[in-house]
Amino acid sequence: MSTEVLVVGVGMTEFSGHHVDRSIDDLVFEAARTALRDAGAEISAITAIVAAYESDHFIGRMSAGVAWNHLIGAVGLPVVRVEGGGATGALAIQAAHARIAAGVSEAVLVVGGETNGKAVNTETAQRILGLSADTTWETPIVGTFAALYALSITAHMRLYGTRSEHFAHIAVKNRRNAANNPLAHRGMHITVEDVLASRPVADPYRLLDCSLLSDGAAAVLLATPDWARSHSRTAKDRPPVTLAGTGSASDAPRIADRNPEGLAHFAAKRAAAAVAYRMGGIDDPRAQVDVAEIYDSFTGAELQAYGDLGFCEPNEAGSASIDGRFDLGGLIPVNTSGGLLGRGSAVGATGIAQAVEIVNQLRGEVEGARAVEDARVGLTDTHAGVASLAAVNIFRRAA
Amino acid sequence: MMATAHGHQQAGVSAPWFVQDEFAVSSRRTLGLMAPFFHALNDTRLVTTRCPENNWTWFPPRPICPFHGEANEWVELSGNGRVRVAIRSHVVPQGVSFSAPYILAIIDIEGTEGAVTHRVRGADLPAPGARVSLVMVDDGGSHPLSRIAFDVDTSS
Repeated sequence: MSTEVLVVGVGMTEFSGHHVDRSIDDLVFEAARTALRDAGAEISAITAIVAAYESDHFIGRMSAGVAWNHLIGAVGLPVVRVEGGGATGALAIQAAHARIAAGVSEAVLVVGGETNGKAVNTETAQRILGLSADTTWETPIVGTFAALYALSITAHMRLYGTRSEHFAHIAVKNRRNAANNPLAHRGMHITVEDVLASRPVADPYRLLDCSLLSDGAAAVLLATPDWARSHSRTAKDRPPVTLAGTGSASDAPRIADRNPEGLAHFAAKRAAAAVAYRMGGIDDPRAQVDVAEIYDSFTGAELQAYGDLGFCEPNEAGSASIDGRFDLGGLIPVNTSGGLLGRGSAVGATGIAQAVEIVNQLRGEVEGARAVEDARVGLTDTHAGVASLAAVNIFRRAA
Repeated sequence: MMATAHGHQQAGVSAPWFVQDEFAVSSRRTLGLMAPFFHALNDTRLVTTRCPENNWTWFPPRPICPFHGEANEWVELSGNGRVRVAIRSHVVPQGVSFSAPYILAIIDIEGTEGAVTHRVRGADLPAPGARVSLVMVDDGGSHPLSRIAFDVDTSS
């Protein structure tokens, strides 16, 4: 694990409710080429590809990685598909890191995409996504993830006194951030009252507490420092960013298998963060993490993550969500991209798009209102199911 | 410019073109070693498995003990439980006959170490700790689990 792994290129497409004029192949091509252009590198210098997508159903294809290799001019290179529900993109980055750290590859292009927007109708989309929950015992009765997340946040509310207003603030914050992100699916300027007045989905969650389903793709290029010196025309001109830590962990797929306190928490997220923090030299995330992208599939999931990632005590996550510490200009700005609530979620691309945002923040290349000044350490957090599988990645600006 | 039934018209660019791909899948999956649970459910009985080594009673059943690797024994349950947490959902799953809103709860199953996420009938949200009992229902659906629900036991 001693090999330093650099992020030498990043790229993503606009996330959209429906890219009517671009197919999944077009989106993946655009993201991959953008990352290569960002790195100032040629595809011929890449030594492996990791393809990230969750479901064969949305893109209508299996073994898409092989087709994507052909698409981007990488025929002949090894390609492996990674799938881990909502954590797919982050796990793909982790897989690329492992390949480089093991000395198997020098430069790995991680590319992920999904057409979750309108490739299938909403009812079918929910049914397909529900396949990643417990299909024997919970999905036939529960149906949607909204209800499972609602049970989890209700346990948090009972345990800590968390209120709907607390997580409604996250809906406001993330959609406001998305309004400043030209690649976001849907930025909005809304109020807490708007959130609380929106249509109920699964109490306490309402429509504006729920994230977006998007079409989109994203890519990152990871490489050794030696490779970057030899093959990246841009690496010498910008501060190097390393993937300093990466961790993942699992939990029971059925939320009923979690104990009463565990139901309010994401144990897999805690465990994944502990591994990533240890590897990345983080012993006090509140003091050392400057910017974060958290998996806000539902507003309350971001709030719960504040405690489980160590950004605050779990019992103060509610008050912390409204006191500004996770807003732009706060202690740790969270979801400056807009998160899944505003930037959107194209599942296989989501964890990679988070990395794109964090790397751009660490390089100082995010412009305008959502820029975080002098950020040196950034975190991405994703999970599958109701955090039945979690992945946390830590990025660090080396200079 | 050309307008088609498949896409909208945009000045200066060709209209998008879509492929409508119908791919209906009807699958018939065995529930394998879990079959005794569903046979009993069909007979209005709730059963589960118990590890003969340490008497740990699983719910839902685990036909093989994950710790000992040996077959567990099937035991019958009362069908009662207690609500741990409950919410009201405004969206129903596909394939069920009941309508929204409906109440979902995590229910600790009496006589076991486990719990189930399931429907509690009635309009009022049950309080944590409320005692509930298994009932067979007519308004369920095609999946065997949707043909059961829990009622709040008002006598306790």
